[in-house]
Amino acid sequence: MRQLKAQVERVVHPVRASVGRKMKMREELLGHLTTSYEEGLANGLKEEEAIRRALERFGEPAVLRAELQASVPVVEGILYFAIPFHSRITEAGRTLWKGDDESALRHAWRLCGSVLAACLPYLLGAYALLFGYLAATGTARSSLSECWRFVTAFHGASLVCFFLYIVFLDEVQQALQTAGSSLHRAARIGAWCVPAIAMVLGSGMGVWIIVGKPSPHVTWQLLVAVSVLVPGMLVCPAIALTADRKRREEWESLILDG
Amino acid sequence: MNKISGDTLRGHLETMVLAALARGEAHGYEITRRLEARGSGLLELQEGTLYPALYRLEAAGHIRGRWEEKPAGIRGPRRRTYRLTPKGRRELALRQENWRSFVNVVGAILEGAT
Repeated sequence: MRQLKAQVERVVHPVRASVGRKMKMREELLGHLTTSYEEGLANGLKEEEAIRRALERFGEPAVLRAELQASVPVVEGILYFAIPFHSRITEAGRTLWKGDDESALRHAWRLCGSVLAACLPYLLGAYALLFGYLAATGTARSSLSECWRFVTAFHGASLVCFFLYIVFLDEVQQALQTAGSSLHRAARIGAWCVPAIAMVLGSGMGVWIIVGKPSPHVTWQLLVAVSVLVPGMLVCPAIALTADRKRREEWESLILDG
Repeated sequence: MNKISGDTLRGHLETMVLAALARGEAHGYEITRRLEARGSGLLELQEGTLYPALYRLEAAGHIRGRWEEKPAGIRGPRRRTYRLTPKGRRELALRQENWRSFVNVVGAILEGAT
């Protein structure tokens, strides 16, 4: 099994494509090689001979790699070529996975801390721009109190949702698996759409509150409207990412059977 | 008779896959077996090259794939089975028609040369 899996990795690893597409390739190609190998054993071949025959019939890795790459949509291939450190980023992201002996609560704190640390440069940059705007226009800082409330509520709610999602990660995954593939697919589509919508609406409303200065009553209505989108904004990408993690874990655990 | 392999085979692989799937739903390994059985031992297919063809056909909407669910407690890779879509059936009929025309025309020319 190890040799079959190594061959699949030789073929698929260099292909420039999304993680999901490559996992599909890996699993399908390994399934083919495994069936071929088992058929060899059933025909009376010794184990090593069955593996050799399966690999020989499978074809040259370089040829297969080139053909698999050609089957990837051009835009996707260019995108993943344009991110040279993509695989290193993916590997670095794995340090955020839950450890074997780690409690759900500790994992959630660790992830929230990482998210805050990652967002810090963005927040500092945003505040620098805001204070620059205030200084340039001579606007008093107190006039933005509604905006501060908005920003605090928006980011605070996001972080709380994220924290709760991580705490109940296993339960959510279990529920999704029971619910079937259509919900998984919906979550994946939502992973791209909901955050984009939430960011556009949130930023637009923030600008309106700063520039338009609506009444406090209207401002709070805006906050409620945006808050509805906040859970989806974090949960959808998290579901998509953890689904990828689940598949990769399954793939890596296969080596134990060999 | 010489074996058929490489580029000669690759140019027609997608059509042959469509024809193999016209006999019913199958996963990749089963498709290669069907092709070999119909090829009278003269097809020398690198089995892995079947999958890029399957992905292209699926992207074009000619076939549809689905993962087979594994029984609980069974480990190992899942298998993906493919079936022809109505669009794929129309495409196969069109390619068969084109192939017949090609064989008639080119065959007549080549036979006339001997």
